[in-house]
Amino acid sequence: MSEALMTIDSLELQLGSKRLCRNLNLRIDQGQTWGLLGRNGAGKTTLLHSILGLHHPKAGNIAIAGQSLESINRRQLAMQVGMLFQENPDSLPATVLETVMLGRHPHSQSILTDSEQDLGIARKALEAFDLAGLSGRQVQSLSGGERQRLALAMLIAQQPRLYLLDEPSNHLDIAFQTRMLGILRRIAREDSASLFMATHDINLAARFCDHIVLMLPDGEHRSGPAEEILQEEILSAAYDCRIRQLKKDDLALFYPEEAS
Amino acid sequence: MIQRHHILLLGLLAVLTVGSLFFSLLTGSVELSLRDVFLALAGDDNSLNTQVLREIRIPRTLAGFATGGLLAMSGVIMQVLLRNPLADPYILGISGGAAVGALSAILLGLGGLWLNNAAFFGALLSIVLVFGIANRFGQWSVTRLLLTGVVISAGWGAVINVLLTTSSSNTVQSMLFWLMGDLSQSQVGIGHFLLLFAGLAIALLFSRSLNVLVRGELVAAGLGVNIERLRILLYFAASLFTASAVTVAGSVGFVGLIIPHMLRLLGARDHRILFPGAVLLGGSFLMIADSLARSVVAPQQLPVGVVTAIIGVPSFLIILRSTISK
Repeated sequence: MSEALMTIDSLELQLGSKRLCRNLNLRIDQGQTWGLLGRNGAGKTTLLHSILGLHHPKAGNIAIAGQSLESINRRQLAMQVGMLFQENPDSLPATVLETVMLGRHPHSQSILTDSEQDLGIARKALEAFDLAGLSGRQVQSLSGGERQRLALAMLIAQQPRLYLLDEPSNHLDIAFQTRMLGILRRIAREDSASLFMATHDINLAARFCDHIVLMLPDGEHRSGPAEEILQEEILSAAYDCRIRQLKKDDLALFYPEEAS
Repeated sequence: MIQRHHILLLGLLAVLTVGSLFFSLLTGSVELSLRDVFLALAGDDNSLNTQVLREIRIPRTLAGFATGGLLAMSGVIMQVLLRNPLADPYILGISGGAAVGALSAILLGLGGLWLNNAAFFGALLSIVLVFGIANRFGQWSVTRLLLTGVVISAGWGAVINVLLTTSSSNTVQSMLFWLMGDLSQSQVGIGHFLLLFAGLAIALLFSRSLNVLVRGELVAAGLGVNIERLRILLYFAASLFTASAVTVAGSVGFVGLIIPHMLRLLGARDHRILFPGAVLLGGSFLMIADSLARSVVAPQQLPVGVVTAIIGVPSFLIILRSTISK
């Protein structure tokens, strides 16, 4: 059995006065792809932020590669865990290549010079997401989809062991959604890294994830292999909406039954 | 990312700095030549020209350089810290506090060192006040800091107006000069240059983190930046630079706002280039502005803050226009 990349023990999350989850237990191993599902406001983003140390859990413990989160400093953590955030705020001007290079921040040794190695990794990351031709462009001039791909490229330049993705399909058209996530999963697997992605898109999760955590409205959760969790009854209860499943070839397609 | 043209830019700015330095030394009511400058620097000359240089021109030129450099660095930091392109070194009320200190000293008929100390004390008071209030509930958000600073700044503004309206007309004149920024009374010490260079060194150490912070606090935290620590460091560094600058020259406007943007528009977005660039361009800009302030309407002198705006506005607009049309 391989070493656990991340373990979560009896985690309780609270945002303001609202309890999001309690007694959450989770173990993510190397090379796995986990989906994080749940209704709006169920606490998906907060859970991802907690793994990155950006939100302090009310109780419980999170460990990365056997080391408790509190004992890892930010930079070490950033070498292990990288996150794609939902929002990529506009800011002062920057070019595409400059932005991807920021992904190398936790690894860079020298203060004043950029290493050839880092530049090479950044360029490869751009190529992986079809952005090599745009490397000199201003970020502000990119389309929403190009920006999302840029954020993904910056994330793989970071080379984390665990990729946290908050709505990775945002701003991507249907063709790019599957292509970009496919690329990301391939790169992660080559490094035996793992993915943990929060998404609203059950079908995307069904297609890409081998495991699922489903956050329920009452603060409970269910987790396990995707085929065990992605079932009509379970999803219907979680989303408080009748959800049906269509099967075609190897694909499962979930859709909500029309509201009467 | 540092590229070859960035190094070239810094080289050009260094040339500009040396040029501005001599321009400033040679400009003024007494005609001086380059020969006088070298004689004065060589040391064993005691002519009138050497005295003018040693006692007036050199201190004033150095004060211009140090003040401009400090303000421009402070502006760079404030704009990143507050994530607001309109931020300048004075936005959080530091100059307001310094102004109340300085104006009170002027009102009491105090000058020289007393005036400087009063200004510096006022600036420190404002720094601590804003930080204390913004920090009060442990939730140190940028919005809270910005709002606290702006409100405190408005409060100082009211006190300044009270001081101005209740003072006699000849003290008001010197108050206005202080408020607009003026280098004619400036005394710059070794301390200011230590702060300038030590500040630049520290800023360079944190440049990479600032490059990341520009992309947002969440992204920066995700990339391993200790945001809480960095924010506090940036706040106090920028505040100290500003406090030191206003103590020397009063609240010279515009430098801290436009120099960082000019450099960014010229392609210096990486803070490892932006900080040294800010020191050189900010310093040159203020030395040139002050040379003009004491020569265009000679023998009258203008407050340098007026000149920074007069030459800053068009040059900024020209750069803005030429980079947008690209």
